[in-house]
Amino acid sequence: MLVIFTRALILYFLVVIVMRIMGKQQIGELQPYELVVAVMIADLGAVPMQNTGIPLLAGIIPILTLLISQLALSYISMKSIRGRELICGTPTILIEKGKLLEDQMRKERYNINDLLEALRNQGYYNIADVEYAILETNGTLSVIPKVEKRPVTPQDLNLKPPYEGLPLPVVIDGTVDFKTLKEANKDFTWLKGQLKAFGISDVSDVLLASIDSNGNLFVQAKEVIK
Amino acid sequence: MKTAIVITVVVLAFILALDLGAYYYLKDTAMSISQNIEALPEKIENEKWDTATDDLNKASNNWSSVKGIWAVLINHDEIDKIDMSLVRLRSFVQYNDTEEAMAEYNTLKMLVEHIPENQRFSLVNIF
Repeated sequence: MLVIFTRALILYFLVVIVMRIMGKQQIGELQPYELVVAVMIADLGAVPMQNTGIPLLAGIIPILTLLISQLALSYISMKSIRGRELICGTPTILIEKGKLLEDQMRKERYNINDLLEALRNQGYYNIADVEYAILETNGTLSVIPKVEKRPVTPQDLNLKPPYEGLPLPVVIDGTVDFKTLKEANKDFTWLKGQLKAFGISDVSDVLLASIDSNGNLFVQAKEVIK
Repeated sequence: MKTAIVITVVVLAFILALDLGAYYYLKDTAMSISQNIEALPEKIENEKWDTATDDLNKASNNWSSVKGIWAVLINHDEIDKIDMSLVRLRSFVQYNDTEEAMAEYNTLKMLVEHIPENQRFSLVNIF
């Protein structure tokens, strides 16, 4: 039992490390070669995990091989346009200037129902509202609506909204992030003073405090658990 | 968070207890079956086939009583191998085949004794 337990732990941490090294795309939208790696790694980890008859290295070596192969393909697809086309494929235009491209849909084996479903998922219920629809290499559909159907932007209304930067979380779960606090050009004394204004005397009582780009502080205190 | 820690500790303690209990149970029962057939080589060499059959009956009964629990703890292939080895050894003893009986005795002894060793928490077994 402890043998299986230890093997499971080793393989679990190895797969977590490998997926971290492979990058964020592994857990988001996958390219075909990344999907293959994810599926194969799951199987390579699971089999030696429970079968003590298989040497652990028989699971570890193929996982590491997939890791370096994936890193190599990522590198090629990053450095070479031709390589990227070969490895990831190219995006396909399915709707051009409001017109469905039947031959492209046939080439991608993408039927009308698939297209309508993907458009609905993007919030376009009427195909007549779409100017361009592009099938991306990771299988998602990007949609450009017709000019008269796209949402109004401040530029359309000749408005100049104030700059909105990234809010900086300075206290998370009672712990002050001094690095972020410094990035916001504030210090602990300022923070304590601000928290006092919210009726909070101890930082450890704060669930979340963040500073927006205008220097305003958002504070939420922890709930008192009875 | 507290619940998660409690569950983790309970599961770890359960696995540890189960592993230790299983290892010592397998070790004790494997030793007991080994002892049942300990005198077999001498009896086979001296062609005392009746007493050898008695020893084999004892070992078979002992094996039948522990087999059910072994099936919960170890790979069923190992149990099948021991079953087959016992049947072969019984046949060789029944037909008074000294050489084959000696070879099969050693196989059976190895099959029974290596089980607890395979279950032991060691670097060799992990990797």
